[in-house]
Amino acid sequence: MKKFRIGATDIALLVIGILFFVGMLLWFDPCDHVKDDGSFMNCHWADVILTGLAAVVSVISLAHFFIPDERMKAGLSAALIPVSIFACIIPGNLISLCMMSEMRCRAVMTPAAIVCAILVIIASAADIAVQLRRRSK
Amino acid sequence: MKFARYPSVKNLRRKHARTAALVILTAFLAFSIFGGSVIVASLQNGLESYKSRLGADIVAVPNEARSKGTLDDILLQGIPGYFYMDSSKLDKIRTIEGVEIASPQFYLATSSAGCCSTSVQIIGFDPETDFSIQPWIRENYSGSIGDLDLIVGSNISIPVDRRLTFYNTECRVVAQLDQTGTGLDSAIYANMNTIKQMMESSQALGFNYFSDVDADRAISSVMIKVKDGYSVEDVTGDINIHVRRVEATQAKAMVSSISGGLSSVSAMIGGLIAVVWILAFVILMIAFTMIANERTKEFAILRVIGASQGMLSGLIRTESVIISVGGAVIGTALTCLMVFPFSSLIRSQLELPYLLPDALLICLIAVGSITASVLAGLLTSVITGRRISKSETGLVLREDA
Repeated sequence: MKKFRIGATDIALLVIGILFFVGMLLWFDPCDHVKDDGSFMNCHWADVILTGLAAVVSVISLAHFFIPDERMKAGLSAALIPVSIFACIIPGNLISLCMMSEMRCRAVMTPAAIVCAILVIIASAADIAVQLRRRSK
Repeated sequence: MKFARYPSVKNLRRKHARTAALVILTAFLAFSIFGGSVIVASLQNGLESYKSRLGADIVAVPNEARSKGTLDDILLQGIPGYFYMDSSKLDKIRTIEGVEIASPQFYLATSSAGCCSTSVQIIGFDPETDFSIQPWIRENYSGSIGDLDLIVGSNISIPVDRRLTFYNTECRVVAQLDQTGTGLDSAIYANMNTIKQMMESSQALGFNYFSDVDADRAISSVMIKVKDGYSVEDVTGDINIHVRRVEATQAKAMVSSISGGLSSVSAMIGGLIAVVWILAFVILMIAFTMIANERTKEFAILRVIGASQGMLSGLIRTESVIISVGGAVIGTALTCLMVFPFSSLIRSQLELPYLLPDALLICLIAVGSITASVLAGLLTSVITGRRISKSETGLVLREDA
């Protein structure tokens, strides 16, 4: 049976994943995003998708934390990279946001999501290197 | 020879918790130096940009606009506002001795803008007389500004079809201005005919911004250029005396009030950087001293097997440089992730002109911050190294025996 071993990248991925998800739920959400006619603004849908992606990232990070096999860990980390790239390009590119750059969706939600996604990409890349090296030993 | 085989690297890897703690400390130091310096540089850059964009010598507005601080809100923070006076004030200002050019501007706040739940400031100007807005429009757009043409500030994103509708008036975006770091980035510019059309549409929709002023004769502010040989202060005084219910302010005075606020923020950040640097230096000093005390036996054994005092000092210095460079690079990278993406948020929170410096200056600040952080680590290691080289090997080993 594989020995359960916690490394720095396991902790980093879990912390960033949870921070991304909790942040999207509590701190990074855009303004009250309802138009005068009662329909939702684009930033609401961008928020919903980003929260969903953050949930996926945190679930994968959690699984990554508890799975001892190096190859599976590397595979999960590799899966986080395209998810994070997708999170980077959603706000403002795939879904257009509000007109003013000082609105919450552009001043807070977008940069926060991009920063979290970049951190996940860096931690995932580092983790893949760590797991593959462990495997080769 | 592999990098990992160097004794310094081996030492650092063996004591990974200690190494991580020191790297985090240096990263924090670099973070505060780089972040603080970039913010101070951005504030100074923003003030320069504000000075150059203001253009006029004197700004005249209705009394209530100055008392409410509405003009500052519009120019600095981009908070949409409106205030009006009769255009007869413009004619009176033009008769004042020393006034070379007096150009009217018109401020209109939209009720909502496209998908945004916020209003946008529209600034109307007279292309015939304007001397404060058009020079910097020409930096990005050389064509003429026709009716229903809009020039938008850098904070406004342009729709794919380049069409924006305000008060049922559909307009075409012809150009976008460079960033100024002020509230003017959140404004939209149009000629007076376009503004008049929007005003009529707004009145038809039931918005009444003009209260006791005749909408056809309403203007918001007058930008004034003073003739050479006349004192700006005297002309300002004359306008305030001779034109009733109008308050003229020297543009210099508007800038100096901001620069006062900016100086205190810069001084605060500068003080904070100095405190963090000293604190980090002291902590690093204590940490390296403790580590050196802990490793006296190790160093004594190394001396016995032939290592010179210089080699031991070099060992500590190398460890310190690796930790400092690693921490400084991590700290600088973290600052990049915090300061640049969130610059809009920082600007709106500071409520001061804030414009990021160019890439070259940012790179220079980054190099300076990394150097300052590495210097702190290096200085502490030099002091520790000297202390170790003074200790007697035989005495150390005998004490432990």
